[in-house]
Amino acid sequence: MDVFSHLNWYSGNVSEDGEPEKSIPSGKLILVSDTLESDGSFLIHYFLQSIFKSTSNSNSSGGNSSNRGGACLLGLNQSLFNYFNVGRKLGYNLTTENGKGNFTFINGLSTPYQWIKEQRVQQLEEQGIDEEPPLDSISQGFSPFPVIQLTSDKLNNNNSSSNSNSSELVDILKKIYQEFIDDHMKRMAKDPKSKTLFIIDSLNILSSYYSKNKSGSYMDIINFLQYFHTFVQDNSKTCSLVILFHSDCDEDTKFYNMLKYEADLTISISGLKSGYSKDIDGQIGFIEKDENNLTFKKINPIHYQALDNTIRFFHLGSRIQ
Amino acid sequence: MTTPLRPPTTFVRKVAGKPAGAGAPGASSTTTTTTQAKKLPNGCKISIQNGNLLTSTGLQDLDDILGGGIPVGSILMIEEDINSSYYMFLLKYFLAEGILQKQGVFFSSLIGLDPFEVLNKLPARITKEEEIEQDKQDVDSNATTKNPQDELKIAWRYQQYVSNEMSKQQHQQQQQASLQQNTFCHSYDFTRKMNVQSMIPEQIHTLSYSSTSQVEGSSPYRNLFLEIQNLVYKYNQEAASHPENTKVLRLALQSFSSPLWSNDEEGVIEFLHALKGLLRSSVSTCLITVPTYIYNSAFVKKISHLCDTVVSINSFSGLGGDTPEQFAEYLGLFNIKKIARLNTLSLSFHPDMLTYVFKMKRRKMCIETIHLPPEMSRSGDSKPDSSSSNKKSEDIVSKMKSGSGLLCGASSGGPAKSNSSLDF
Repeated sequence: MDVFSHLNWYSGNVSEDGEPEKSIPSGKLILVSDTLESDGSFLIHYFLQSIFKSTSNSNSSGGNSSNRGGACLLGLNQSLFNYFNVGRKLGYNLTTENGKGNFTFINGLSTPYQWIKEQRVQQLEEQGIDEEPPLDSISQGFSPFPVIQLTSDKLNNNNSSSNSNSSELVDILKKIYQEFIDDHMKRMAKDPKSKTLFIIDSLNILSSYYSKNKSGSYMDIINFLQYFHTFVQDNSKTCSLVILFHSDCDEDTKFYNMLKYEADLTISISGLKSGYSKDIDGQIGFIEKDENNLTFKKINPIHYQALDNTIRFFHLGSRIQ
Repeated sequence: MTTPLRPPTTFVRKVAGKPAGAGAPGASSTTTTTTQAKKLPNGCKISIQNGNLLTSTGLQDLDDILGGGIPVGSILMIEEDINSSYYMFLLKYFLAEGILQKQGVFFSSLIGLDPFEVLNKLPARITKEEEIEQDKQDVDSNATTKNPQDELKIAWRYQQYVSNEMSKQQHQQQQQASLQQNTFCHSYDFTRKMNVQSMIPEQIHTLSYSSTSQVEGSSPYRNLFLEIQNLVYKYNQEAASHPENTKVLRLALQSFSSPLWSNDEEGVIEFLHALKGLLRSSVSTCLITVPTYIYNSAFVKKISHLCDTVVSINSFSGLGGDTPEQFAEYLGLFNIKKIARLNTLSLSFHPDMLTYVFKMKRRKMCIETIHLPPEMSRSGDSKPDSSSSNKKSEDIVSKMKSGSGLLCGASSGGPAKSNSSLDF
């Protein structure tokens, strides 16, 4: 079994080998919440795998283009190298997918803050060096294809940085939104039926780490999410949004509850109640919002185990071998 | 990738024993051989489970627990113990190993300790032969340690098995001793100090803070980050221009996020996020010790999410209770709180359990798996107790016997929390 059959995620088409085709539903805001004991990032790799596998299948079969898809990933938590390496083990190559226009990466991990650049420039000025020396091959990091940087390269913001720190967050959110929309547009221009999956890994860094405004409100983030959710709903045939969120990072669960309320589907990953086990990594619970009458429905939880190059899912108590 | 679940120790031995190329089967062998041919940096090896570049913590027991060592490019966080400072031993092991491997070492104490106070008191290296020799003496003088002549109290039929195992172990130790030209992890003797002259001053970097040196207005974490960034870039550059002579840089920050240094909590998060990004493309690895007991659990989780591996160490005496009778020879508990997922889908390593016990031998620290002694009389468990401390110790033990709680690594710190009157 897997998540797709458990949630009945089928596109309605039948693939070549007679199996019904699996696909992530579009027009949804999917929240993946995890805890320290059980990391939820495996689901992101799992989703990427399902997209690229079905895409390559439909490519080889030629005519059936209804299942073409791509992904746009905002990586705040892990480096591209990590996604690339895991992808190789799962059977897809991010470089080739990028070459085909199916994958876009926004790098939110290396030099994620404007102050780092400002400080560096300031320091170099003190040493009397005008031009920043080019970075060596190691410091540049792993970049087999061009990625989008979260911070802008130009240092024009002597004025804007003095404004307030919350404006930096707004700038970044706007940038993320813009990049996502652009990516979607590009893919739509190629093939109006193609699907795009937006992935944010993880929201915590955006929600608490950037927002230094003393009022402590999450308003900027909430606005961003609502705006984005509306966009996804407007394009309900062609895109979905997946958000990874660590649910145990705030004493005040207001923001988490709000996220759950906003999301169409909440996938909550938690460790086993009985503690650590080598055979089962944790439990996945689902809460789905019914579109018609806006009620929430619980779906039976399942267990999972992430192995080196595959993920296994089990009904509760069915893990035998 | 045939068997990811095998215990790491068997893997380690195989590699030490066999030359490159005769390694594990499957996909991993190709990576192993190609990179070994390239010659690894000092004190590094390739993880057999996932191909990450590892460097040692300086303590063999800890390396074994953490799946072979610390991956280069990751952050290891140690939660400091309350009312004692056993974490300092781990920190010193880490620094000493860096110096012996001729790696770059950066140390800064954020609670105002003079860095040279620590660096001058690092433990001295002890060779395997010496260690075996001294271990023998210890065994002779100390009857309680394990000994092939010890008779099993129950299951005596396995006596043969035990002595076989013991002799195998000794044999391996000797074999390793002869092999250890390219040691991955040295042994240290805390009764002697490391010779200061053996350090290479160009590769030792320290940073000390006084309250006056901090610039008003700017976050001290940003300044610290700038210093570290410069250092990391320097080592990266050397490694990029002389790949055959790569030196790994070890960063160690003591009492990171201590409010005595700065109470800028957002700064902590920001710093760690930026540091993670910096380290991921570098030849550096970082160890931070954090006094987590100061903060609420939510903030600690926030920090932990940004680090790669999180472990905690706590002594029984520091926690305030008496040492449980069954653990009389141990000093405290060692927990794994988070296991890294570095370039892997699954966990980077799969430990059998998350809770260990540690003790200090005369020269070194030992972290061991929990073994409970066989129950001698049945009355022990059911006898009602009046003293609360006794109840507490039985509480831990009974929990462990029932298989819940501690052994399974519930993250809530175990013994400290178990004084509810309803708990048996």
